[in-house]
Amino acid sequence: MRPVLPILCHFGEAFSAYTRRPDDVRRQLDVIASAGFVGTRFWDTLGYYAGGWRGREVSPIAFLNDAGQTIHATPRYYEQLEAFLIEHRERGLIVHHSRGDLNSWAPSQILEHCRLVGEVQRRVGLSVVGLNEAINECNMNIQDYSVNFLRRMIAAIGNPSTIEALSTPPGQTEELDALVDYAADVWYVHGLRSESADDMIRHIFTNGYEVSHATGKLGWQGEPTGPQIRPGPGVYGPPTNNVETLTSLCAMSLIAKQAWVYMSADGVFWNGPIENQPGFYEVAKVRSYLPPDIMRGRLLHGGRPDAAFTSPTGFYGDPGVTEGPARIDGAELADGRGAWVIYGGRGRKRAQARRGFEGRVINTATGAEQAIVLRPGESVEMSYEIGRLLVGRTTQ
Amino acid sequence: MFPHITDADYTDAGTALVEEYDKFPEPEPQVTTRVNVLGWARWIGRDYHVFRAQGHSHERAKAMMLNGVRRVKGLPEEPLPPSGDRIVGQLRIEGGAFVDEGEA
Repeated sequence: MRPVLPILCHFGEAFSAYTRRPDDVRRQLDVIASAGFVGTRFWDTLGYYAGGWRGREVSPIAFLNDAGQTIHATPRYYEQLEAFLIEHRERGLIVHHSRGDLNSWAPSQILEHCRLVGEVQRRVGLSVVGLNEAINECNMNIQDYSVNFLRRMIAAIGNPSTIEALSTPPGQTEELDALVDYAADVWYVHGLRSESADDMIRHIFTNGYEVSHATGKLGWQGEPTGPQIRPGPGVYGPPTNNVETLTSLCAMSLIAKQAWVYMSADGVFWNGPIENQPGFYEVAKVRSYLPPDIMRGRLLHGGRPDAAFTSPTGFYGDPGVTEGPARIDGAELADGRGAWVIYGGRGRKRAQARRGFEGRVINTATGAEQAIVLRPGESVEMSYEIGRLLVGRTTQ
Repeated sequence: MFPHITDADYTDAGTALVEEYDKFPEPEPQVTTRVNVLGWARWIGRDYHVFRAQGHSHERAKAMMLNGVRRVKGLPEEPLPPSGDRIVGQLRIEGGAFVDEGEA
């Protein structure tokens, strides 16, 4: 089996839009596939929150929205869902299959829907399903968001050979205990959304370091921060329009054992071509810079004496350190190959090799590369706004 | 964004399609073959250029198109070349990594 680094594109409204204007959705899927994404994340039910979804509802049953309006069932719902999944299969795309807005559904209706979704998936072929997620942000979208009920939803889908997730823990907390409790085949997060690129990159590494060690499982960044280039609903929390930040976050995620979903405002509310959002093409390319088996690596931060790289001036932010990068976080494979993100800091930012190193420094925003060979103790200095990716092999 | 397809790519795909089509026993099946300025690299909605636009490599797009011909003939489809970046089997987790079970 071939190791892969999943980078998907968030297209939350895709199925809803497919029931209304399928040719437009087909074009968007073509662009997503052509850019190099391996799949999409979408919601198969929407519409409880009238403020965001009025006129964009999709549901197999009639229900009441939060404005007290009756929303009618989507005609030929499961037939259209099957066709929508086939559209992905035809393009070699996988789906991160999720759902939202089940707030006014009865538990029995939810479980029956899950059962029918499972049948649709089996008819299309399970190779189209990259991830089965019980529900989006559980405390926002369903009355009973206990781990037990979310597990019943996944069990009702009945496709245990697919990778399964429950939801983000209530409140979208990323506290370790909550992530462990709500983990299924993967632990599942929606990411820290912050004004600080350093904080977000470090947080992703720390998640991999702590949660993967605690659970022995991989993670899935289903809805991290992303770009938003016009006002209105979209990315909750501070958006991130800087391409160097977006690609560095993605690189750190893949290194730190987490699949990545390219989030954007238009990838939630589909108000324009997703490819017009910053970082669309650049993020899709990030996996091409990394060893495909990098998730099997050992995670090490630069402060550890056994890490391949450190900063000769110390790490900016540590007591008494006035210049240098904030962090060098990476993963090292047993044969010496590895990948590291050097980021943040002030002044001269250098990575010092503790062992010999042959590899490349990559600007993930532009794809520009610089080949480097370092003997033990030698450093490479980098100039960057957010960070750089180091990829190569350590030697003795 | 449309992929860059060279003249050699089109000639190769079109030639392969003609060769496959010519293997039909008489009378040829009553199917609609779309021919336009892109020449023979189009086949009943299983177009080479559409597969390329979806991100598939030249060899894979050509093979997918030829499988469309074989399906019409009632013949078994040929295995496709490796997908490159595509996930072709089921995504699974093995040995601490996501893996594509469809490719070695």
